[in-house]
Amino acid sequence: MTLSSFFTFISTTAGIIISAIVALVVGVVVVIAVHALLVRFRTSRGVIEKSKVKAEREAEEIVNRARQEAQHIVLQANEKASELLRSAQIFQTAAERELDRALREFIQKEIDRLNEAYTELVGSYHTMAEEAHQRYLSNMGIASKQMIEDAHQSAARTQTLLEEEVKRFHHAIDQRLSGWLQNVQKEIEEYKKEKIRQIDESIFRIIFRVSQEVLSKPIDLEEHQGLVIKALGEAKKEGFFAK
Amino acid sequence: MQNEFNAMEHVVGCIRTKEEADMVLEGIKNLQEALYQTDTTSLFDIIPTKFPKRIAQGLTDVIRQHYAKGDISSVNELFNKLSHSIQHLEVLRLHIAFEPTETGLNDITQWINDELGQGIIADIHVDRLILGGVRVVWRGRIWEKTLNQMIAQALDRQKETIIKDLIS
Repeated sequence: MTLSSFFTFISTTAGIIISAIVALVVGVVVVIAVHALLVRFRTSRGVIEKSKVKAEREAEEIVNRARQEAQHIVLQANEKASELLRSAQIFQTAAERELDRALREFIQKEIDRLNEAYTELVGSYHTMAEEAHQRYLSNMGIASKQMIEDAHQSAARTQTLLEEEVKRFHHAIDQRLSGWLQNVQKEIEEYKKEKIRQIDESIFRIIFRVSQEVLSKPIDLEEHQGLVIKALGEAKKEGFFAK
Repeated sequence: MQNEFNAMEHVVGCIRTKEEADMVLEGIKNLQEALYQTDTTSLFDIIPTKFPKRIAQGLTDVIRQHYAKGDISSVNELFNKLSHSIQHLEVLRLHIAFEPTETGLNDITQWINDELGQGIIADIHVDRLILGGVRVVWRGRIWEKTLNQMIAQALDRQKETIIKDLIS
């Protein structure tokens, strides 16, 4: 411990109290030493009985002086301690004020610095945010373009696949339809033949009935011509040519 | 003059159908075109090729008579009169179911001449759908007695029986 640090320590309240205690201890040590000396003298009472009274008196004087000195020292120490305490209190108050001022100044500076940093940070943040936004937009544009391109390619592939699938489907359907159509046409032809045969039979019966009513026998060319002349005669008879 | 009229009437009277009338008109046109050619024999060569045989002979006789007079313009006048008469023949349109034979055609035209009078020719159309009989068109009116019509009427009368036959 250096000397300056010692004095600095002494100037504090704790230092003052410790100094007073040290002074008190010194006094007590002195008293104990005197007492020990007296005890020593008592042990040799027989030898130096005469000087006993004197020694006692001297010792008493010494003790008294020591006590007075000790009291004086204690008082001085007490005064010193009080003075130091006052000084310390004054110092403490000033220090507190100074500390408070320094702290306020520091805090204000910190606040200003933080504000500045905040402003700078906010500015940076805005710039970064704007850049990020622009990058985002750019990336989104690129991504969208890529997605659209991918979608187009995918759609084209899908369309090609679908067209091929439709072609295959149509081909398969055509083949099936062709076979089915052939069967149906065959069935229709057979059905038609059967129906025509039935209709021929029916028509034959009908014509037979009609011929029975209209014609009593087959008509030859002469009879046809005769029918024309006969019909013309009927027309004339009905007055058709007279009108 | 009377002879000329009779000869022309004979020629016109030989025309039985509208087809023949058109053929004669076309032939007359050819004759008129050949009339003023120097070689008169070509005129008589045309007649057999352009006119029906029944008409050709009578027409040849008439033309020879006019040629004998040496008056070509009178021959031309004869052609004009002949064309005019043919163009004014009245037409009776008949729809029949067959192509008539010469006999059949003669019978029909004879009937027309006998029953309806001179100056009427037949315009015959073959329509096999009428089956038999005749459909007559005369002066914008129609009269019909055909087998087709008769069968249709008969079918109508036997409709129910026929339907039963078809269903069975």
